[in-house]
This record gives sequence, C-alpha cells and structure tokens, in this order.
Amino acid sequence: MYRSQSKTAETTRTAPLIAAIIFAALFCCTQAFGASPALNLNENGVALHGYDPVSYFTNQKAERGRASISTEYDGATYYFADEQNRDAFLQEPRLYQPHYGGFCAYGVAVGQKFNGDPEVFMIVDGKLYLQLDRSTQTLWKADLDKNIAIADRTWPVIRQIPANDLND
Amino acid sequence: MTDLPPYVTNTAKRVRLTSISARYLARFVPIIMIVFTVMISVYGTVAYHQAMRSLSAKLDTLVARQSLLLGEAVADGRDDRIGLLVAQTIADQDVATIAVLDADGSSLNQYGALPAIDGPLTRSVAINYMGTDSYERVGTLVVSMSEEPAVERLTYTLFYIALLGIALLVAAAVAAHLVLRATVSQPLDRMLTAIRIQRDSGAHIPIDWDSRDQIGQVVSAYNALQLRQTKTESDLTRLHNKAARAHQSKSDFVGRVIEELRTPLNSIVGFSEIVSSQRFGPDTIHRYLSYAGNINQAARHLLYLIENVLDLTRLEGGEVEPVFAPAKVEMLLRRAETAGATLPRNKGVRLIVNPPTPGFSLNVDAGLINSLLGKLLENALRHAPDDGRVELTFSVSPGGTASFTVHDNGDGIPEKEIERLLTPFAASRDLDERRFHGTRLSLPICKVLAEMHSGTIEITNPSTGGAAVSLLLPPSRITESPAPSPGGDENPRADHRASGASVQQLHRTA
Repeated sequence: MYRSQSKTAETTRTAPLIAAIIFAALFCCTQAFGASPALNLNENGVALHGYDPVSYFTNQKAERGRASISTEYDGATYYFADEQNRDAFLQEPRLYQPHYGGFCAYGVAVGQKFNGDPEVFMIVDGKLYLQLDRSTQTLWKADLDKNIAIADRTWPVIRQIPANDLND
Repeated sequence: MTDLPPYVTNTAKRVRLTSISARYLARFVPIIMIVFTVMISVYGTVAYHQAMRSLSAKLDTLVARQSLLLGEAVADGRDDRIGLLVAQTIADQDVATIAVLDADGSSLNQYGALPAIDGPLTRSVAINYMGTDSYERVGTLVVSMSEEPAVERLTYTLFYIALLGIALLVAAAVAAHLVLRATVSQPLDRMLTAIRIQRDSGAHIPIDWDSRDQIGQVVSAYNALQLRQTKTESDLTRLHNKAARAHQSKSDFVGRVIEELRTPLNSIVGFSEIVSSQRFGPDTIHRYLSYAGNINQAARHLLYLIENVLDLTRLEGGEVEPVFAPAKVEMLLRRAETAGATLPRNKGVRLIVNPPTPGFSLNVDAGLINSLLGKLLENALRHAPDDGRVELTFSVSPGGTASFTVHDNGDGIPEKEIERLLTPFAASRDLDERRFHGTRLSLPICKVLAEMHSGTIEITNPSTGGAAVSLLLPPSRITESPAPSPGGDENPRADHRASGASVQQLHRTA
C-alpha cells in the first residue's frame, strides 16, 4: 500500500519536469532554425553574444547586457545594460547595429563569415566593427581604409550565403 | 568498569556490535556514497559537455584566425611563412593535426595524418586571399583537435574531487561514530548493564550519567523510577511485617481471651455440678448457697470480660468515632466522681477528687474521657487495700501537657510489667490476680481511648508509694486556660460537694 503510493507520487513529481525539458528543447530548436544568415547570432538568437550595442558608443567599452532588458529588432534579440540604452537603441536602431551583421570585419573582407568577438571592437566613422580576435584586429588595422572598402564591396555578395557554404 | 563481574564485559562486547552508531553508519555511509556518486557523475557529464563546447569554440576561432593569416602566404607560395604559421598552430596541445592544402587539394604543409573532413572536432575552412578589388580562394585549411587532453584534465579534476569526498565521508563517519558513542551508546550501555544486574540480582543500581539531552532525561527518569520502586518495596516489606505482627497479636489475643474465659466457666460448671448433684447431701444448704454465690461471681466476671472484649474490638475496629467539643475540666472531674461513687471497693477505701485550677477547658469527647476515667478509678478502687485512698488529680505541666492522674496507695507495679499492662492479657496472671484484677483488658482499652485523643497512658510508681496511672493529653487539646491571677487559683471551690456515702471530699492542703 505504502509502496504503491510512493511510486505514484514519484511519477507525478517527475512528469512536469520531463514536459518542461521537452518544451525547452523545442523552443531552442525553433530559435536556431529561424536564424538569418546575414546576422551573427548565438544559439538563442541573441546578437553581439548578449553585449549591449549602445554601450560601445556611449561608454567606448564592451559591456554585458541583461536578459531582462532586451528588445527584438530585425530578427535578432539585443540585450542592454540599462533601460536608457534600450530607449536610445529603439529611437535609431540602425546607428547602433554592428556592421556586417556582427561578423568579423577582416573575415568579411576575404569573403568569410567568422564569429566576431564582442570584446574585440572598433568604431570607425560611427560604425561598430567586430573582429575574430586581437591578432586579426591588428592585421585589419594595418590597412584599415582598404580593408573596409573591400569588405563593403564583398558584404553584399556573401550577405545571404550561410557561413558553411562559403568554405565548400 | 574494572570491578564489574565478567558477564557484564561479555554483554558489553555483544552490545558494541549492535550499537546505535554501527547501525547508523551502516545506513548513512551507503546513502552518502550513492548520493556522492550520482553527484560526481552528473558533474562529470556536465563538465565534459562544457569542455567539448569550449574546445569546439576554440577550434572555430583558431581555424578562422589561421586561415586569415595564411591567406597571403599561400597566395604568394611562401613555404617558410606557411611552415611558421603551421608550427605556431600546432604548439597548442589541443590541436591534433593540421593540413594546408592549395587550390588543387594537394598538401602544402602538414602535421599528422589528414583527418576526415566531417569528423568530430575537425574544421575545414577556405583560405581566401584579398586581391585589389575582390577576394579569391587560394587553398584550404584543415585542423582537427583531440579531446584526450581535455578529458584527461577533467578526469584528474574528478579524481581529486572524489578523493576529497571520500576523505570528507570518512571524517564525517568517524565524527558521527565518536559523537554517537559519547552521547548515545555509552549511556545506553550503562543503562543496559544496570538493568541486567537488576534482573539477575535484584539490586537497584542508579545509572551514573548526567546530560541535558533526551538520553539524560531518560536516565534520570529511570533513576527516579528505581528510587521509587526501592521505596515501594521497602514500604511493602514494612507493611507486610506489620500485618504479620498484627495477625500474630490478634491470634494471641483470641487465644488469651479463650484461656481467660475458661477460668470462670470452669468454676461455673464445677459449682453448678456440685449443687445440682447435691454431692454433699441434701442438708448442707448453706454450702450450696455459697456455691451459688461463687457461680454468680464467676458469671459476672465472665460478663465483665466479654463486655470489655467487645469494647476493645469495637474501639480497635474504628467503630467508635470520637466527637470533640470543648469541655470544662471541673465538669469532667465531677462526672468521674459521680461515676466512681457507686463502684465496688474494699472496705473503708476513700475516693478523693482534688479540685483543679478553675478555668481550664479541653477539646475532647466528654463521654469517652468519662468512661476512660471511670475505668482507671474502677481499677484503683478495686485494688486499694482496706481503709486505703484513691486520688484523682488534674494538672497542667510547664510544657503544657494536661494530665489526669489516678493515684492509689496499694502495691507498686514491677517495672517489667508496666509495658505489658497496656497489651491485652499480656500482663502476668499472677500480677493480675494480686493487684490489677481485670486490668489486663481495661488498661489497653484506656490506651486506645487516649490514643483517640492523641494522648497516652503513663503508669508510674510514685516515690510516695502505691501506683499512679495518668492520662496525658497534648497541649493542643487545651482550648481555654485561666487568666493568670496571682494568689487566687488555690482557693477551694465552695460548691464542690461530696457524693456517695463513703467518698469524702478533701481539700488539697499542700
């Protein structure tokens, strides 16, 4: 009697847990499948790996955003450090969006879509450029104007091509 | 523990195997082990996946960077620069193999075998070179990583965590064992020893243990229980002895009563036989008449005995409930005097009632006190010699004890008989015959009556000769005392008059 009771209690306790896990997994999948190839998003559809896009311009530094202060724009989720930044972003999103969809600027110049590290950034002419890492940034800065000019020409060509297809 | 008998140490050994701490640890240790193992494996799985993820991310960044750095060298065909970049890449211990291929797919530089492109932890990236206005693909970079170093690091971590956990578990088990032994097992052992000793030998041994926890409460409750049991047992023994003694004295009493009744019955039977059979012939009428007198005397004595036995049984059985009320001493003495006037006595015996200090009142049952004093007077009057005197006196001692004393000038009482006079029929028959005829019952009755008033009977042989029997009452019985008036309390009472022909009222002259 006692045993059967405890068993039913166990099943009722674990059932909601399993349901929650399945639901969470499905949610993640839909997010991943819906991602646009033009944007560098993480597995949750968040741009800039969750860094605050406004902070680069106002504070000149990379600052982590908070998931509780977020907004959706153009198929991507942006996190912000505070509500002021979000308000500023919502007024003119194009100003604060990372260039080349958040991909590595030097990689775009050579026709590749590499992940842009949100900690390695540079603002040139009011535009936010991210780089793969510091060594590529050094390489990129050595011939900044030429690299930006070539990348600006390359980007419309590779914009809609998924990253993996560029390497076939 | 060294002075305990051998069987105690034997039981102690057996107790250790079934001790609380062993039972506790037998459950505690496996449960903790299972929980710990589950936690370690969960942590290991999570950490493994995390390591693989970070390894994958690292590989992504590495292969991207190296492809960018290699672009110009591959385009220009500078093998020395390609070699340098390959060496720089392979310096990372997580990298297993690397291959730089040209646009046709042939190897320009290579470290290790070329892995399958779609294998795990393997990335293949195009090496593009930036021309003047566009980019062109000049080769392919293939890099694979080995998960072994990462797994090895993880294994080391898990091993040290497990080691730490086992050390913690051992420490916790030892600490739990020590604490349990000190707080639970030790007092339980002592309790068990005490209980076994009590079971085997019946001795109540208090357990030597003092703590404020539940065990301490149990031990002190047990000790208190033992103490009460010991007390109850000794009470029972005492009651049993008392009951046995009472039973014995009752049997003795019945035996003595029967013995006592036989004497007058024998004389009744003997004399009545003589009379009815006219043994001395038909003409000796005077003799028969005197025998009839003997029969009458014996029958009266028989009646007297039976009445006294009945009185005593009634009193001892608690059938008589005394009713206490304040009574004046003068009134009590007057009633005793009135009753004493008609009592049988030897020739010329005088009853003298000494007038008391006026004003005293006692909280007593007047009827019972009256019969008590009557019995004392009866004894004294009966046994005072010819022309003797019997005195009844009331006095209050400096300590506050009130006493009624009946003093006669007959023979004194041997010291050894004084105590036995108060036990029914215990005094020697010889003394009874000679001096205190009938007192073998009446004095015990007096004693019971005195005890009803929380008083006592005292028998003394005063230095002036004769014998004195006193009723002593405690000070609490005195409800009224005369106001101290100097010189007035020795005056004789004018209205006190003698009653009865042979009783003379004499004033105290002392």
